[in-house]
Amino acid sequence: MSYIEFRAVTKEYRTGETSILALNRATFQVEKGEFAVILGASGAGKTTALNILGGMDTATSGEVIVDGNDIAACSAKQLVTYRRHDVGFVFQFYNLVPNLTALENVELAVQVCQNHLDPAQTLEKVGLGDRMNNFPAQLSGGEQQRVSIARALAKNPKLLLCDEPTGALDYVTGKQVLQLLQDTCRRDGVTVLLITHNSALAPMADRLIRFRSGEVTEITKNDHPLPISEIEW
Amino acid sequence: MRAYTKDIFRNISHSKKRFLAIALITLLGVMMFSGLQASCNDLEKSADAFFDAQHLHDIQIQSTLGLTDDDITALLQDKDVAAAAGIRSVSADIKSSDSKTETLLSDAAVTTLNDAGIDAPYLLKGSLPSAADEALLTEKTAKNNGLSIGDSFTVSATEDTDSSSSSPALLVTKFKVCGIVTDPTDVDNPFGQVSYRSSQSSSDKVFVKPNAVSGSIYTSVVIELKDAKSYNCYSDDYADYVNDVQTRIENKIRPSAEERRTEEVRADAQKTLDDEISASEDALKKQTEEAEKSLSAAGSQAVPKEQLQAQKAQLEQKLKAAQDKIDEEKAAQQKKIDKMEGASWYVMNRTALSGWSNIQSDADSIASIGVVFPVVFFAIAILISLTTVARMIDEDRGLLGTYKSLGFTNQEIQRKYLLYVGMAGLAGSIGGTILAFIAFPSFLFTVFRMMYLLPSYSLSVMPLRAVLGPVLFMGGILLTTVYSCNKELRQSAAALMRPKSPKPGSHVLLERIRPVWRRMSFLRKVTARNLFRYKSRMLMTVLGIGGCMALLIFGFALRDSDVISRYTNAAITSAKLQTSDGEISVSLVVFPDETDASEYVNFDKLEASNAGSIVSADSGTDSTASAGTSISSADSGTDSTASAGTRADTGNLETGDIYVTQNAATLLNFSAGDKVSCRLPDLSEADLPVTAVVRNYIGNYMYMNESTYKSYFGDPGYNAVLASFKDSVSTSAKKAFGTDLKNMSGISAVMVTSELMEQSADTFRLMNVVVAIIIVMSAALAFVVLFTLQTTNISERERELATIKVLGFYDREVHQYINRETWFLTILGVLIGLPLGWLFAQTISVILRLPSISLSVSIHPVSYLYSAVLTLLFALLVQLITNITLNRIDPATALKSVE
Ligand SMILES: Nc1ncnc2c1ncn2[C@@H]1O[C@H](COP(=O)(O)OP(=O)(O)O)[C@@H](O)[C@H]1O
Ligand SMILES: [Mg+2]
Repeated sequence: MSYIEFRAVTKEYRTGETSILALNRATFQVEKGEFAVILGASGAGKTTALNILGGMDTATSGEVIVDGNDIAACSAKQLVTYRRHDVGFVFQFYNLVPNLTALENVELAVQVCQNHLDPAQTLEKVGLGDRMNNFPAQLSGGEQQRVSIARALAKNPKLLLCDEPTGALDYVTGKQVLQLLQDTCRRDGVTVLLITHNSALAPMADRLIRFRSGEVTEITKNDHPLPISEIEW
Repeated sequence: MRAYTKDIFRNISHSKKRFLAIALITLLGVMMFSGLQASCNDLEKSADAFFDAQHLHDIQIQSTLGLTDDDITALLQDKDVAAAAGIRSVSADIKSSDSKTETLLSDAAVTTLNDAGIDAPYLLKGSLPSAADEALLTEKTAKNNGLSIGDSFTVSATEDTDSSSSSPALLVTKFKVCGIVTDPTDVDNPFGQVSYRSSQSSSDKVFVKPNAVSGSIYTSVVIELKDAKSYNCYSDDYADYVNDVQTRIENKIRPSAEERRTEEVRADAQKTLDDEISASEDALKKQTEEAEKSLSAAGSQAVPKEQLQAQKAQLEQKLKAAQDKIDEEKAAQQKKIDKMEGASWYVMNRTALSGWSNIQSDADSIASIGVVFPVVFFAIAILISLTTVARMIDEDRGLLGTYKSLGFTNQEIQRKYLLYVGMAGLAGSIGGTILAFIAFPSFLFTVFRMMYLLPSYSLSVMPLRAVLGPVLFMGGILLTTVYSCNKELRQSAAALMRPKSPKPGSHVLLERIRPVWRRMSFLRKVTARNLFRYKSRMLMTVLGIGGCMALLIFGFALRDSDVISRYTNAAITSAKLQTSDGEISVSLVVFPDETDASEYVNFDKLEASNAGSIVSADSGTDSTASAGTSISSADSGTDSTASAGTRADTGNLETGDIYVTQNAATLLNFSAGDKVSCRLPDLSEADLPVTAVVRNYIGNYMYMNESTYKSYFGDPGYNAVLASFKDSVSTSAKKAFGTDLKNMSGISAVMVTSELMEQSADTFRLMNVVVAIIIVMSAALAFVVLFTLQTTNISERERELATIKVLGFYDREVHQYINRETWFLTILGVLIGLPLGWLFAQTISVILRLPSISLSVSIHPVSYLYSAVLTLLFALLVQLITNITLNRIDPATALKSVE
């Protein structure tokens, strides 16, 4: 069995009369320590899938196995515990707490977590050792995104889920952030799932999962992923 | 434009909470702005209407020498006097002639009705008297004497006036009750809770036709003024109008009328004297003539000259003596007449009537409480709408930008928010006005009904107030809205459409104090930062909570400043105790069964009897505890000692207990266990076994509870109120209160003669209601404030909260994350509210201008505690509700990209 198993997951949004099938029997696997890229057009169901995987949302039907546990069968409270210890999120918008310094934002995450890493060291690892006492408003977008990655990493999660982390960043900064994510995966062995609608990023993945209108249309294993520095778009 | 209007309505339904908050705060404000005032206005108006209908006199005149028809004629000369009528009143004892046992009943004033219809009693039941032997009774009189329509009773004047005198005298002594009435000159409700400011105790009243009372002079003259009815009798205009007439009467009519009456009485007296003197002189003359005749007859007979001389001298001497005596008498009487005090008028207006003025002072003091409130409510309403509108516009930034880029002018965009806020304010204003003028007064009417005998209360609108309240509140919140809108709309459309960067964080001062900062837990640090991040909201929360807290303290202080801590009904009658050693008068005090009598009377037992055996105790003991001990040492029976001990400890009256004070026991030479014969004023008699002799230094008393009384005499009929001062009341305040009570006519007499006491000391029943209203309103206000600020806080920080949820914070931790701040601010608000409340309370003595009781403001420490606990409870309640909002935040939705 794979580390992550997404089996025939269906998610239906019901709004009054109409119902939208965001995921339609989506199935894919990701192995431990892999860098998986999820590709698809806007509205294809990528975020929905990632949210379900991260315990932020529940599937209408299907199984979601992470490290042998079916999180689709978890209670709301169990899902919080799962997020608390096993999942790190990185979003397009960095969602830092504006009132906390970079260091404190990382500390906020490890507050509730047991096997966490040292916040200051983690910040150094993402290259912000000298900006630790700055507030988010004093940091650039790329720097803020790096704080948010540090915040996710400091929890020492089983999964790092990234939903278009470069969507709001310029080319160079975006590349730096992707580099950081790839390095983290390679160096620390964290399983990373990254959503993007930029198909140019496909070669950097160990595994490529394509979504189209709620269905997984393609899963490609790439034995020779390219380092991000060699990819241009 | 139609789509735009649609947007507004959708806006309301999408942010119901906000709409409700604005509506609610306006409702509370408008209601408080007018509610108390409207109730008082209604009370005064209803009273005015009643007094107009019953032609309550505007001016009443009494004179030391009585008043005559000449006085009435003189008074009618004044251009403003519409009618004047003479009233004759006789104080008399009433005896119900139907009852089998001859019972002595209360004394009453038998008063004549008048043709002018002034002071007409309001007929509750029955009909007006059609014959001289028919009478009307006030409800209280009927109840006190067990009389109802159709019953007859006899009256006997308490002061003997000989029938020849001109003073009023009863022509009829047996009456039949033809109707039950309310006397407009005395509308204090004797059955309910009389305001303790009442300055007159009303005696029983009997109204009879003029021809039932004889006499050429009147006890008083009552006057109705021409234009008085066109005024509200509680208005300044009325007071001015009556004062004018009163001054005219005092200056123009009174001197000559007094002189005329004085002359009249003096002339009468002179004539009587002259008649008497001339009668005596005539008699003397006759006597002299007879004597002279007999002398001359004797002279014609041959009587020795010396003897005749001597006889003559003797006679002359005798006559001279008699003449001297007459002259002396004449001089003395003449001196009396010359020195006779002239008539002296008392010209009184309605303020002399206790019921009438109680209504005025009650209305005034309640109305003045209603002044403080709207100010606080207004300030808080402005705060709330400022917060709410600012947040709403903040959330709509993008939309504002869109409208702006679509070419809408600032005015047009603003209109949406003005309409939204205006509709909320209007809804609140309408609700508030309805509550203020209908619900609020209707509620207070139930209290007024307990206090006054007015037959009906009617609602009325105070147009100026009804308009002013909504205008003030809506004006306030609309201006706030314009201000908030303009602040945002000044920016360009592009700037508005860009998402507003969240309020940046910054280091707080506390971080400079490293040792403290380092020792704080991480989440505490977060709390500290957030507190200083939202300074304006922090300020509003603290002020809002502080204000509510202060109002609560104000409310409690109103209650605390009342000097009486507890009271009970009781029956006090005089009774005669008799043993073979003699007879003395005691005051028999009967307590209701369920009352702890020892709270009012200190039963310090000297002797107690148990199970029929007489137990003597050491009479030197002076505390209850040692009385118990000494009883046990005197008695060997263990179980009886035990009960004696416990009884002495609780000191309370059980059924069967009859306690008599020491002095009576000594005088009549009896002790606990003996039987004494007891006779009540109604002449019912019983032999009572005295169970204990208790210490009491002043007066002779006998105590028992209602059941005990019933088993010997029947229903006691409560006629008194016993009250205890609060411990906190100072000696001087107690003294002042006592003096005030004594000054109320009738009360000191009651204490001396042990007659029926009817002054109710139940104070401030009305105030209690007002206090309750204040507490409920403050609670509502605290609730709205906390709720608004908390929901605004949450909505403003939704992303932040979603983020910590994503990070795996449990619900409870999320609640703490927010509520820690709220608690801190609430506690800060409570701390600020303490001195603020004290300050508010200091205004009480100014606000409540009570005529007879000087209120010293006192606030119990526990009231601060109550206020604080209540405020914290409201805070907790609000948090329980907003916690639900927190739980509903869905991180997946909240963190979706900021479109
Ligand atoms: N809360 C929601 N309610 C209704 N429909 C939703 C909701 N969230 C997502 N959808 C719909 O589900 C589909 C998939 O959305 P999403 O997973 O966000 O797509 P993307 O691949 O762009 O991340 C879309 O059509 C979207 O409209
Ligand atoms: Mg998406």
